[in-house]
Amino acid sequence: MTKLSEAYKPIQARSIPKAPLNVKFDTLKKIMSYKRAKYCLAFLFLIVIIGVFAPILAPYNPNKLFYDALLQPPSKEHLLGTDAIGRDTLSRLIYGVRVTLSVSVFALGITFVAGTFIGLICAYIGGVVDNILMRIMDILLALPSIILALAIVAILGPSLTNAMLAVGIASIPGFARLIRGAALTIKSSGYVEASRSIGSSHSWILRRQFLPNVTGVLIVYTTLFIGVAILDTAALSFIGLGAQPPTSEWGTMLSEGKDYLYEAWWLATFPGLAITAVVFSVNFLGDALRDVFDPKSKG
Amino acid sequence: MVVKHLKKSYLLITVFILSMFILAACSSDKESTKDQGDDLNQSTPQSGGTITIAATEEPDTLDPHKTGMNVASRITGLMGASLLTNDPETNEIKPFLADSYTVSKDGKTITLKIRQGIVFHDGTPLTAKVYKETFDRILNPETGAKVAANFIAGIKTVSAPDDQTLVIELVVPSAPFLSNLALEGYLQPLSLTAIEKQGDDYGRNPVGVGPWKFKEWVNGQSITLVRNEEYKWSQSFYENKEKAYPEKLVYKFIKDTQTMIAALDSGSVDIVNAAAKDAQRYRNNKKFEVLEIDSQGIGLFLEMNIENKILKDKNVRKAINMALNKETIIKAVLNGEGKPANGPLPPTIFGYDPNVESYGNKYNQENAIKLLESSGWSKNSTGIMEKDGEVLRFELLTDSTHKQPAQIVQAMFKEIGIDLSIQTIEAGTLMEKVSKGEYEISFLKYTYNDPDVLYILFHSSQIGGLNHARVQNAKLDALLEQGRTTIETEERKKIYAEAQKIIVEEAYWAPIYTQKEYYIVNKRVRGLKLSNSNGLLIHDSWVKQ
Amino acid sequence: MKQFIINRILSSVIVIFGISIFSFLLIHLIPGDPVKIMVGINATSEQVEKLTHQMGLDRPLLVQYSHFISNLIQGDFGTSLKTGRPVLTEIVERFPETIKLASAGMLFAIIIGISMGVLAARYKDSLIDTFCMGIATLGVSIPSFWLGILLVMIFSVNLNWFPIAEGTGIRDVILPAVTLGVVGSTMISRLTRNGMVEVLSNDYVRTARAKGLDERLIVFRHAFRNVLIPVVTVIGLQIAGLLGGAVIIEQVFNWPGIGTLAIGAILSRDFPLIQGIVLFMGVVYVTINILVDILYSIIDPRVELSVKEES
Repeated sequence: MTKLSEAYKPIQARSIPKAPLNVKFDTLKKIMSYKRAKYCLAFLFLIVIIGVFAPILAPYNPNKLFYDALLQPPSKEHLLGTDAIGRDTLSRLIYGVRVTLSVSVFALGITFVAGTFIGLICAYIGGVVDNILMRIMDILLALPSIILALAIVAILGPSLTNAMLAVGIASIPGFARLIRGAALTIKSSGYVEASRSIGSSHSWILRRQFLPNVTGVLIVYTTLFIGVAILDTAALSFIGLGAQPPTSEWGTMLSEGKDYLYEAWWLATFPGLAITAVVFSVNFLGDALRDVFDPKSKG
Repeated sequence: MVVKHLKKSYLLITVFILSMFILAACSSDKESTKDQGDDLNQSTPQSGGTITIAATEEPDTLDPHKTGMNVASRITGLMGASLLTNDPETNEIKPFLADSYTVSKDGKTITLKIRQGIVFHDGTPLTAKVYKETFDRILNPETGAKVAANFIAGIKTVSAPDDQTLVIELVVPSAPFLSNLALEGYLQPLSLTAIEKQGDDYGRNPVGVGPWKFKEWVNGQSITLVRNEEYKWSQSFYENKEKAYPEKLVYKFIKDTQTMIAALDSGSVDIVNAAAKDAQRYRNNKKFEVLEIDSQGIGLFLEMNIENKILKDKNVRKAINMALNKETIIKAVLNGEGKPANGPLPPTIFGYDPNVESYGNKYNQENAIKLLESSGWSKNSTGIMEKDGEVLRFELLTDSTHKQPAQIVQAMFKEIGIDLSIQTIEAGTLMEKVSKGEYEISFLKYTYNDPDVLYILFHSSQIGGLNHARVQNAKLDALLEQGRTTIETEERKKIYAEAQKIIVEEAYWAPIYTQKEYYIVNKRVRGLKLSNSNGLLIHDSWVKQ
Repeated sequence: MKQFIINRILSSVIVIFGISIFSFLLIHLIPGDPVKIMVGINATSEQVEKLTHQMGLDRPLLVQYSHFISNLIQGDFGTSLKTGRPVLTEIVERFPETIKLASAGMLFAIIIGISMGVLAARYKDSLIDTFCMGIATLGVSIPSFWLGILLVMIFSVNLNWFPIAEGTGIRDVILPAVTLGVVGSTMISRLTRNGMVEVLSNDYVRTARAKGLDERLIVFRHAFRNVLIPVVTVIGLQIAGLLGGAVIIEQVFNWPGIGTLAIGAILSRDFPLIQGIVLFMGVVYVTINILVDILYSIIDPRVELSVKEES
């Protein structure tokens, strides 16, 4: 549950001057040249495919109850066993991919859009606006993200959508700060000044100078954020404040499986492995991306 | 070079971890064989030691008048005692703190003689006056008594003509009143001197007359009680007439049931209230004993809001009753250890009518569909019932404890063409919404010791309270009023038989099952018994050192 | 320097002020009427009105807020709806347990993080490096609650090495602290590794090597000391992170800290308690951050500039 802010702060504190980063066509090639990044990307691609084709791939309907096969260990009929009310674990895991994917997209969407917007505004306009917005961000940052998420869920009530919202909102401040920091370094590098002096419009500067220059940071941290979003949403579901039954969400499955640790090891094991594998790949990919975009921090 | 070296250490680590696992497997084997030689039949109680009981909930306060929590009533019950008591064998009302009692002919006046020589933990002697003050405190609105006040709601006046005599006048005769006086938790005498001395802190420093004295409450963790050395007024059904055998009794609060089981295994707790599936695993375990008993109440039933425009239709309610394969639900939820319920009362409560087994609404999908069709519903292309372009769809409001049956019921409804969505909300909110009638279908369970529970659940005056179905049936109302004021048992039985029939025929509810209560006990603790009216009977138990 | 510290404290005061507004608004944002929950379902509307008035919930927001603040200043955080005790008492009783867990977790994070980092740097680009950094990534990828369950199953249930729900002593804290430590060690091991690698490629280390100095001596005497500064900072930052992480871990291990208190409060809709916890945690967080910032600016004066430029 590392927050973005924490992940970022040490680098900020060391204040490594960043060269403007450019995303070029050969970036993908470069990423692919990292062996582990390649594997991770392939794995994540596979996961997406599984999610998209879940109805075809899953052996059964994830909510179908097999009354005569309660708590069955893995077998030929049910490759990963069944749960206490006779649902096929494999089918639920496969459908769970869809939930995990939508969590990533949804939470990321909120954080990304709001965070980038606030961050860029602050860096670009500066002054009072910057001050006010950043203080609000500070206030939100001053709460552990999970406490903030809990508070948001307390307001909105427990549901998967609200959990995603909470996780998304809770990460906005860290993200905004990050974008602002990156943008500030670029701003102070002089050539934005130069383009302003030749009379370029504000939006032109934003679009053509800021955005491309922060893309590298953006890509790296959004990738890492996906991992955080998946974990935090699963954690909320685990304590009963996220996805509600019969949704086949991995965190909920884990939480249900936890009640059967003694008689059905497979119930908590497979969702746990699934979460770990996906988040691990995402994080590994994020690290590789950081090496690509920010070679300075690479050892 | 380095890599080679590394590979070796990898190997070493793997071997090490593997051997740890093997070691673990061996050592647990050893443990189970060692216990076989244990002498289980030793029967002379030993004094001393500690019994630790696990509970999922932590009390809000130990002031029995201010709490509404089950766990608080259990713990305060150990520190207190009641005027009368339930004999666990015969289920008869027996004297306890009262030496004797008489009920006047009109059933409105109860005269109790308080036993002499009883003192509170703080040294205050127990007199009739103290009991009167206790009741007055409950009835005083400023106390804010929630549950305790309900139990003595029918009281007109309480008086104490002398130290030993307590006279209770009721507004109308009440059959369940005497068994309420057997509640050790809610209706125990309280020392007003202690309450005055402690003020707002009384709930954390309770003082009673029971076998256990309050010692310490570690927030979020445990409550510790020590034995009352002066205690010698235990209930007549206990063999132990003196102070308790163990020195300490600890309640430990563990939210998660699996953690609780793990704590039982590791020896951190001795007694655990467990689910059927866990109890089953321990039946053949030599280190543990499983105590079980039929629970006094309905373990699960589906309540329907009959003010809903679709659920108003009796056919729909009956169809819902018939859609439920109770055996299957019992198999999945209770590991097969429960009985299908057909009426609103369980066999363990007085007044239960065995005929309900024959006239109850049984599982029958075909008839369920026929009933729906006779009310004008018909299946559409997706297999869901439809009438005048409206689909047959309900929302099931439940809390997280009933996630499993909710999903099974959802699937069963679908089979007869009813679309059910599940909305899980927090228990407190659930009660509030359901009481207000802001729901369509919900789950509930209850435990109670008297058929008067039907009054609380179905009488029209209880709408807004626990009459969640919002039943307004004049005939039923009359029966339920009659039932609570009739003292003569045979007549009372007949009244409740009729009431049960109406409730089943009107299908206000879909009763699902009655269940058992399980306690897994470490065999270190001996002599523990379980009864459905009194719960755990601790006073004869002792710890093998 | 002085200016920096004053600025930092001033901005923190503003932040704490903001948190107080946020937590004050919570009670108004949460659905359901707190008064109705307090008096129970069967209460008459008169009772509800009376209590609403008593609690001041019928007055304008601004008036309510000023009351809220003046109460706070007097140390009155309100009363828990469930237990009827002062919210501050509830929190203060639980907080030391969370601190205990978080500091034990920190200790493990440091031990795991630094040893992994040093090992990885020492054998840079070897299998050990990949392995250590892989473990580090795994640490932030594995759901902490799942890791906790796994550890309980292996070490408490199967091996019976550590007790469960026994109390909060040293033996009890080990498993939850390891769980927390694994998650918290990632940043430390990465920074240690990267810092070490950087230093090890410096001229003076190369010189030392050329002089034929023992490799272990180089690692410990020269390189390790130089990476301590960034690592110490991360440790400071991680304290706050660990406090948050403890919230979930506490659930798994039945640890009687702020986390279990918070989740219990949310589930039973104990508004004043939720409010109090949010506020309290916010203040703790801000305080830790100030201390870390100030400490760090003392250790490494370059930071002052960059932080100043930031705010």
